[in-house]
Amino acid sequence: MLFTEALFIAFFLVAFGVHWLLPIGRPRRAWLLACSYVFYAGWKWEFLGLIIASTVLDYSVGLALAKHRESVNARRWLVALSLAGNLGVLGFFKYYDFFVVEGAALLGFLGFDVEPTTLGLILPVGISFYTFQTLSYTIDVARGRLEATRNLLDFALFVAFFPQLVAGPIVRASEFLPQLMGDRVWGDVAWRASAWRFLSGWVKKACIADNVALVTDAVYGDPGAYDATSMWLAALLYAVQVYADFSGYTDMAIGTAGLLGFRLPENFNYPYLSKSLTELWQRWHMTLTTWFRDYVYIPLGGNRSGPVRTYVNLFSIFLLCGLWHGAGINYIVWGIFNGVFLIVERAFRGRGRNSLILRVLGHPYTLVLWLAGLTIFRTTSMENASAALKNLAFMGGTPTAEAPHAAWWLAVLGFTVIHLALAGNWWHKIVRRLPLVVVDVAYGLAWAIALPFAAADYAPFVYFQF
Amino acid sequence: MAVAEGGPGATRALMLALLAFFLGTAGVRRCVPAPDDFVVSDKLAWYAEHAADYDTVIIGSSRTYRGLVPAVIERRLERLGHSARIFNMGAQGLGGFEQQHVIEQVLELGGEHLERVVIEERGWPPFIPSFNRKTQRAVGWHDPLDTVRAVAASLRLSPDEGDSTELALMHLGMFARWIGNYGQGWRIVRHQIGRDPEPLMTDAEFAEHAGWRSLEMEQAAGDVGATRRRELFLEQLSEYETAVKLLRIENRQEGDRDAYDLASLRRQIASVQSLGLDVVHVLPPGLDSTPTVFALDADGAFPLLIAFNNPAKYPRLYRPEMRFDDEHLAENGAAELSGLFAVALHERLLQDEP
Repeated sequence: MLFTEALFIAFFLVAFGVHWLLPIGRPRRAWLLACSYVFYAGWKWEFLGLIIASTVLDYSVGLALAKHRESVNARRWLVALSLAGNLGVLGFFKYYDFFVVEGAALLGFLGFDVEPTTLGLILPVGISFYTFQTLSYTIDVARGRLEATRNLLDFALFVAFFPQLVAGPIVRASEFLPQLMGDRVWGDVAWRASAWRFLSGWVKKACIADNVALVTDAVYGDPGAYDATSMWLAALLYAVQVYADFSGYTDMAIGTAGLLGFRLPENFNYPYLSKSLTELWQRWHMTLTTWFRDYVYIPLGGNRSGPVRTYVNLFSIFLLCGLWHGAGINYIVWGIFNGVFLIVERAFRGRGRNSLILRVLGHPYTLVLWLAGLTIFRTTSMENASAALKNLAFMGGTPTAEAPHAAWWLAVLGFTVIHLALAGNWWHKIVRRLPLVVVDVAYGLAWAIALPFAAADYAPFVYFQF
Repeated sequence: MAVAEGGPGATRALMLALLAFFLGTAGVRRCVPAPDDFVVSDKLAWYAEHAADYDTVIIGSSRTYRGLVPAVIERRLERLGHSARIFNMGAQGLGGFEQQHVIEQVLELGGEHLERVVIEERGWPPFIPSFNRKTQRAVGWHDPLDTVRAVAASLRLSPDEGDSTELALMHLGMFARWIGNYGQGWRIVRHQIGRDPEPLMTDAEFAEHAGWRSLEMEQAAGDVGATRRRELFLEQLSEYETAVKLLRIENRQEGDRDAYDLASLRRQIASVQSLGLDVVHVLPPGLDSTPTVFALDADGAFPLLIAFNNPAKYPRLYRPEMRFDDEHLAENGAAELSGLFAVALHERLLQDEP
């Protein structure tokens, strides 16, 4: 069930309507949990057991941590149990086949003949997201930053809340659980803003990302067949696609959660306005980067133990970030690529920050690095990545495929203009002054105009595979 | 979006938004061009301009499209003492509710000399192949009325015919696409700036063949699919001959009148007759057995049914040399069928006319 499908709209209308009709408190939360499980079972009901197991594990670990608050050893063992359980399942489903195949290849390279036994496992949708959520809960409780919840229903809803279950934002228990304590009443819900937020996400996904995918799928499918100009166009369009797709999903998640009276954290802050890769990562998938910062980077020592240790830590989290995105050499290389450039930026941090050159070249420098990184990210093999990068560097062979229509350059231009224009937030003030009747009529008309411009077919969200 | 809350309540806001949405989609729908992957779009466009030239319109699937040659029928009728101007509105896969939708468009276009509508009898199956479900051709006929009919037909299906709930939901999904003009935006833009795709049938072809086109012509134009069908047919001739023998047996079976959507048939007949036009149903020589249609004909359900799917009565139409493939006639077969159709029309409808 994709957020862009009519089926989801129907599902949400039922979930939304019944939720607000039910009495405040436990019935509403139970209903939302039931809806969340139905939503997830719609993908593959067999994997529902994994979420429930993860929920029970971390709920129990949380209670045990509260009980053994004074014992450092017990706390360590309990956290280790949660890490082993959650990362074990994640690792098994996401990485088992990859490591077996690559391990066998490495052994083969070393002269040992090993036949890899793969399991052909299907990756449970959203496992990377909810695993990080449950881990953050356990670690926060162990650190004493969060009280363990005694309410299994609340905890289960935190893990499985359907608006953000399959592709984030990654919500911390400290952000979500307190929202369940209060009485969410309709009068407090910013329903207009939430409805518009959902629409804006829907447009990003269905009208932008899915249409752009027509070009990017073709070019990245066989990058060697296109000329350098087409490759650049595809790279730019892929940057548009992946942003529109993922931030579109986030908008829809925030919108649907908002209509149910919940606040979810923001995940993007106009990342393409960044003047360095470091800044871009502070604006892109923010709930993931802050997760890595709080639960990996800082525990590793962060930047408190000298430059070399800082570089190692940076490198480590981007290696993990690459792996988190997928079990593939290209994701690992992409993570390393980003890690290396963040280290370089860190090494030169502060030097000539205000120089004209950096201010002028910051954007194109960031864009070129981001596009090169995304090219590695998008391609399905290192051979394809190499062909695409060569092509981007104007070192490709003779093109055999027809270049995409020149009108796609207008699409890139249009996206750039809209991205820049919206970043100012000036339009908020205008909208706020409009009569509400106009806002409501505009909402209906906006849907009537948006629907025809959706790509003719539904496509799964890019980040669902992670 | 930062929008102030409060003011009109949510219900009022929802009503306003819904009203704006439906008015907006209705406005947009007026701009949606006809499906560009569907030969009927071109045929309707031609017919809209030349309706006065024709007195007979034939509507049906590819069996009719390939099998009934207007020029041959006209010549044969002329020899029998009747003058007629015939247009073939057939298209691949056309039948059931979609066919009715096309009939209604033809009737709306009228034509001052239109006297009869010849309809291929294909029953009212609510099925749509999965590869077609998101095409504008399939979505385009899912207006509220036809959707209700298709959903009702889906729900009437017996379990061995298909999953009726899934089919009903499929039609509702297509209705949702229809109501929102889903995915039609860029087609509207291209249409508005005059960048429509090339028509599937040109004016010169219409002038020469009046909507008919043989599969040999498609093959000559480089249609790989047609060539493949032809090759398959030649490779599997024995299976074809077995199917023809089976058809003779199955056509003799008892028809299941309850399985037929008689209400839709009656509505179809009434829609044509209410304009004072003759309605003729035709069964081209295919391989599907139709004992139910024969039973209904015996009951008088059809004003006039001309049935050729009878290898016992029309063995020549089933000879391999008359056929392009198992479902379609070759050009010589089409000429034969068209002649037979003209004679049947003369004998059963036109003979007594002044």
